[in-house]
Amino acid sequence: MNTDRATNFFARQARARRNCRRQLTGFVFAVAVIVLVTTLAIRLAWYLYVGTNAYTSFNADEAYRYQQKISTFTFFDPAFFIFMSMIIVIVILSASIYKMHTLKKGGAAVAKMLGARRIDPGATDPDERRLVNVVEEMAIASGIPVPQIFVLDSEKNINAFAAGLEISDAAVTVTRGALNKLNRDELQGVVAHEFSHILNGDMRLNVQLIGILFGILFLGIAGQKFLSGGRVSMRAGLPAMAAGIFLVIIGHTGSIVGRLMQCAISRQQEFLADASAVQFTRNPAGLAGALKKIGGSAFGSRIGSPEARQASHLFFSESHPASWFSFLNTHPPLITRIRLLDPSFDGRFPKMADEPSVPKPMYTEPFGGTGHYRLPAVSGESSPAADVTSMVGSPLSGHLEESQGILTALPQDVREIAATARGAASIVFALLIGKDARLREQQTAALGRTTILRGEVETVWSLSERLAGLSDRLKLPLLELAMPSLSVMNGMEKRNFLLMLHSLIHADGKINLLELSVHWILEKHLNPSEDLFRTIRKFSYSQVGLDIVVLISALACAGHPSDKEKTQKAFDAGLARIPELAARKPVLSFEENASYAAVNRALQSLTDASFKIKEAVVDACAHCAFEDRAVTFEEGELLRVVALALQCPLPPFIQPPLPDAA
Amino acid sequence: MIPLIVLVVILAGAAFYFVGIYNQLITLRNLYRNAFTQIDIQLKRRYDLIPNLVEAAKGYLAHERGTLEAVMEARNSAVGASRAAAQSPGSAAAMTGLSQAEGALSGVLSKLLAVVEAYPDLKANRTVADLMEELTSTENKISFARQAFNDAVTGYNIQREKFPQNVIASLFDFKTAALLDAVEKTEERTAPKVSFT
Repeated sequence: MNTDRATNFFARQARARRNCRRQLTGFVFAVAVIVLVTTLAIRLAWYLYVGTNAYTSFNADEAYRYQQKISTFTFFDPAFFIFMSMIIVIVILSASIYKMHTLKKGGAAVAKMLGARRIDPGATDPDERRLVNVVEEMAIASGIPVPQIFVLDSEKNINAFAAGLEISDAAVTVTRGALNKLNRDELQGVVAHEFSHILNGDMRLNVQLIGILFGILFLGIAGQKFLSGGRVSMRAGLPAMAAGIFLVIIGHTGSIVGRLMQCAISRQQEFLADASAVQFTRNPAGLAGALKKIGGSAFGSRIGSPEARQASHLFFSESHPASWFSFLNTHPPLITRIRLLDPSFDGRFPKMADEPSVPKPMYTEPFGGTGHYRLPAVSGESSPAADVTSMVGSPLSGHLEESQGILTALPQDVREIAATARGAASIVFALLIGKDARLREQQTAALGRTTILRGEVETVWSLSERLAGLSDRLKLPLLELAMPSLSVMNGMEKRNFLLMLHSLIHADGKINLLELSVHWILEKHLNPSEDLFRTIRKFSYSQVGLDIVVLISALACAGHPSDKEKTQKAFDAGLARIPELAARKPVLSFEENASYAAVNRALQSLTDASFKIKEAVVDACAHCAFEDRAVTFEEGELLRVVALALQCPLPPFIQPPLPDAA
Repeated sequence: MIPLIVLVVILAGAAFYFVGIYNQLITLRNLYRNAFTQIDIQLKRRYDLIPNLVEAAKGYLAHERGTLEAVMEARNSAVGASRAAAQSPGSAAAMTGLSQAEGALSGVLSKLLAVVEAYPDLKANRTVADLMEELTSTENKISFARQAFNDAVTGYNIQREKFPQNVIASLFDFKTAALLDAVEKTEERTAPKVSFT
């Protein structure tokens, strides 16, 4: 690979220090260039101003004075030069120091500055889960603690960066595009590349460079603001205009010098980081694959946010390509990098589809539908319930559209409240506030005890009044909206939140369907890993027979609240799916009041049943619900709670065009 | 008087030198033992994941009972080997035992993963997909942790065999530590490459 590949940790750190000195020299050089250009420009302007006045002034005395000045004019006036350089150095240094101070908080501060969202180590979204796993693997491979993980949700192209001052506060950030477009090996290669930046000490250098660049570019940015801010009218006159233009000149000088510094340091680092990435993963194909995918997509690794320009040397691959001057690119050309990893590469990139990817909702099993669900037309003999079980775990694109439609129907300010963890918690609590006066009293007492709201109980009340008018159909999508914010909470807060939820739900000793749904959805969402490692204790139907009967009874009654005969028919249809149970001829048992509490207990008991039993239960419940081909809201909701509690998620039911109601 | 002082200084210097060597060997030994616990954690996690995956896949893989049973059997014998290895990390017998048991487990597991690939229903199941991702990640973590362990063991062995460290080592019974090799079984080599995208 690279010839000056440093072999051990100390050699790399030494090299990083050498680079640090080089960077310092570069900084001094950059400041010197800026001082020189600025003073010369100001002198030149002064010369022109005085010169024009000397020959165009109508006042003879004044013209004489100007001519005197011009005869003594020199471009290098030491006093002026020292004065200017002091001002510029002070401005640049204080801007740099200010920026570095804000970056002191570590990698997370840099990631947040660029608009990244932190990923919880217990993420459940498959793509995010994979990222968390890959980062943990690389932490083992490189022997450093697991860094914080961030995602740039709005960036659809493939890129990534690592930032931080110390190894312990490092943050690895990946774009959404990298998550969606790369396979596991490629993602591993990219993450390994970022890890070697952390380990090589580049990361610290790079973050310092952000501070230095900010100082250098500061005057230019100020100048541009000054000119475009509209504050400089013609009336303010030439001097103000000239000042603005000077600042812009400084800005451009600064940006070119800064860019040169970025590439001088960054390009070497990139080769080294690629080499170390291969050393960590022992798999050059992964990293090469990721680079090829970047080369194959139309926008490569471009980052949309202009904010990110100051950090372009941090990225995995070119984030802001220089349009004409390739020598101003912060990264070595893709083809060169790929050839080092894969010498047989012929320079032809695989074509990547660049379709605008639909943003993935956080929670892919939305609830939905109105009073009655109708199944898509069923052809021939096949039972509709068979469709349902085959739909398990595979949301179709139609589902996404449906849930998005529901979400846009929500009031805007409620959606904004749902964006913070505390707001989301208040929304969930508000959904659970009952109508009965005595119940409300008990719930208020419970709310006063929680620490999550930090005393803002009134928010919950005002929300509950507003949400009282909301149809049931909108309540669960609202819950989903709140869920991403809820998952930001740490373990302790989650526990407190779930305890609070529990006391609100059980305040009246009864459970209704909404409470049942909220309980299971949040329980599963906030404690996802529990299920994966749950030990299976129940293998035979004799252990859970009663629970299954309770579930099927509840579903049968939910479908036909008043019709005894139809209820029995639905019950039998469901039971027929589990011959082992049907053989024992259980009777339909359902009491209106205790029902959902019993359902809750049954679900609780079924969670540690074997996967085969769970699947059979979901299948039986689906057949029970679809026995008459029309599903009521209650029935559908209950079916989904069953599926969720048993970890066999069902997609929401798509409504057909408009057949007459059943 | 002066010769006495010189002698005392030399003796004290030598004592400090040997204490330094002894401490260094202790440090290195603890480092590789700690590196082994890292492997052990991941191995345990893998042993927890496998029964869950087998249970989840059972319903779909009625015709593959043999594969599933072989996986469970290999898993159980690997659990035994890892217990023995955790007792004495670095001992040659325990390391060979563990790497053989692990090799056998990896062999049948990769067969199972290849089978899973052939059943689209099973692959689409969320629980199975989650478990497969966890398992893949754990496998990677094991192999990375093994690299770290072997590096630590090599560092320790190099120090142990140098002169005069070897004198101290034999005096205080620092044994040569064994590497944990990846045993490549024939099944492992012939199994199709499985990639999870």
